[in-house]
Amino acid sequence: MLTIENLQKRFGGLTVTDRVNLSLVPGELHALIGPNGAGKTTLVNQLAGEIAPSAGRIVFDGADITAQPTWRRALLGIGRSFQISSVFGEFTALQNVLLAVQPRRGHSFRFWRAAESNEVLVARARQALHEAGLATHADQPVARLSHGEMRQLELAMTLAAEPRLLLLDEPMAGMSHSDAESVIGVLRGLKGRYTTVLIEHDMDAVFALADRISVLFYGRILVTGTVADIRSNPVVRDAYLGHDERNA
Amino acid sequence: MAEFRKSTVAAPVVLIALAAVPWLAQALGQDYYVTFLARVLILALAAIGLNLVLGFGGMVSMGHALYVGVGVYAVGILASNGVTSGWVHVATALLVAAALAVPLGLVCLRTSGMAFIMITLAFGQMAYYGAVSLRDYGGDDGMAIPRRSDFGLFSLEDNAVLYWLIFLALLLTLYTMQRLVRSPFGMVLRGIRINPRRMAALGYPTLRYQLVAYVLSALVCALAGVLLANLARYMSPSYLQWQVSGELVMIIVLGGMGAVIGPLYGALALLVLEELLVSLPLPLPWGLDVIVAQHPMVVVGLFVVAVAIGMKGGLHSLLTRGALDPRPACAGTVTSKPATEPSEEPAC
Repeated sequence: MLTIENLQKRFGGLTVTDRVNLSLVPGELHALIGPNGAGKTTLVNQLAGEIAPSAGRIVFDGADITAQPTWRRALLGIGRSFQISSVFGEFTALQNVLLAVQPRRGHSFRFWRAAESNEVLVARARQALHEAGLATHADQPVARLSHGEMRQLELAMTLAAEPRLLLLDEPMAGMSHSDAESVIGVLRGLKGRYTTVLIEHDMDAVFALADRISVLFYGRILVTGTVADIRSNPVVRDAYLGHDERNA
Repeated sequence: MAEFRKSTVAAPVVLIALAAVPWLAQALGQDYYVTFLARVLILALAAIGLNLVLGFGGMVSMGHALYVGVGVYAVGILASNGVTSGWVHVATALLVAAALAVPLGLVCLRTSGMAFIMITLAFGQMAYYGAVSLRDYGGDDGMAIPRRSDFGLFSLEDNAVLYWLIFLALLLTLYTMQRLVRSPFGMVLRGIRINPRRMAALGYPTLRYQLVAYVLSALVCALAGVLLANLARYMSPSYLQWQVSGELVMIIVLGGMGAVIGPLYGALALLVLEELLVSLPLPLPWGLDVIVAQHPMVVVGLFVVAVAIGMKGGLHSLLTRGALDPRPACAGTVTSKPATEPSEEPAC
């Protein structure tokens, strides 16, 4: 599926990804945890192709994609959602999802007919909105949706592109408790269908969802293991979880 | 669809009035207004082309006078060498503009924001000095063009016919642009303006779409240049000055860059106001009329500043205000609230 080999990223003297090796099992939900500044987002950005690593390789489905641009990785099946809602506020919800499904039709150098005139794509987009519980908001400008609905839309767009590897960067950030609960429910429903890399600060969510967890600390993977492994690991408790428990 | 519906009231009125200009001018015995408004329409056409990259693509080009210049010099140089066919003039202008826009666009689009403005400005100035160095074609004085383009079907020597040709080109461009910005390509382009990172992550090679938009806008500007050469019957480096690029940007901002037709309102307002201030003595007290007559551009400047500050969507939003849905304003407050107090916002 996805294999990361000896990945390194340095910004000047600062090493933010330090010889990371990781192999994802198809269908697993793999959580990346670690304190702020541990390099979680930087790692995901390298997987998505937004940042070029200083050294190492990223292999997706047997092909070396280390040098591939973001858009080509997206077409290969790597989908991601962003930390902040990255929906297009001036478009309707339907137009947003259309933008997500359009690339599957090949290029978008179609200049004459309206984007909403392709019935196959519109049907697929409406289906994605329906699955996200946003069917009634399809024709509303996205700027009018609530924060939680925008997050749901963001996820719906990522899923509508039919990725095989999902990169989810804090999908519950800034959400109310009930909204977060519903996203956890959605993610649980997705388990097994997609291979997923999840960055999340909410430990309850991580322990509820993850098949395996990798703990990042100053750019290095401290330990990778199952939920039980991570919970009982003394080093992890010292470096990260202990801190979290004191707060709670 | 929303933009189209909003402008359905104002746009037909303006367009019908513009179509009738040659008859009105004839009735008034003022042929001057035909050439004056023809010039306005040409600038509007160029600005509508530029607005594809500026308003819809979010790329502020300060060098599109270059492509207007390509159109002007294509007609001028060909006509000076005995090639009179208008079809050849148009084809040459479009081909040269495309051949320049592809490599220049590729260089400019490696940057964004301020750097993009500076690079487009630099290429514009290079083209300006290139035109100055054309000694055989008048150098920096420019040169008269012996005759207007010959399209075979009709003669452009009549100003009214030329005016209607320009008007037709404007109409067709407006219609094409209106379709373009709603097409899959247009949606992708607008998406890239809003969030290029997200678009790349969705699988769009953003640079290619921006480049195609840049080339298309260059073609429209080159077409405007061909029409300008016919109207002025003169080729001169002054058409390639950076001030022309700046005027196009000003027209767009004034008219409203969110709408396809916005630049037409911008061009009309800017140039008509200029013209009125210069030619009509205003009955103002305390000697203000003298000041205005001596410094008309100061008043124009104040007008542009007022529109830029007071109307975010330019004149287009003013003309369509009655038809505007008032809800977006409160929708903004609704969406900003959860961002500041995320934990207290209930699910909707």
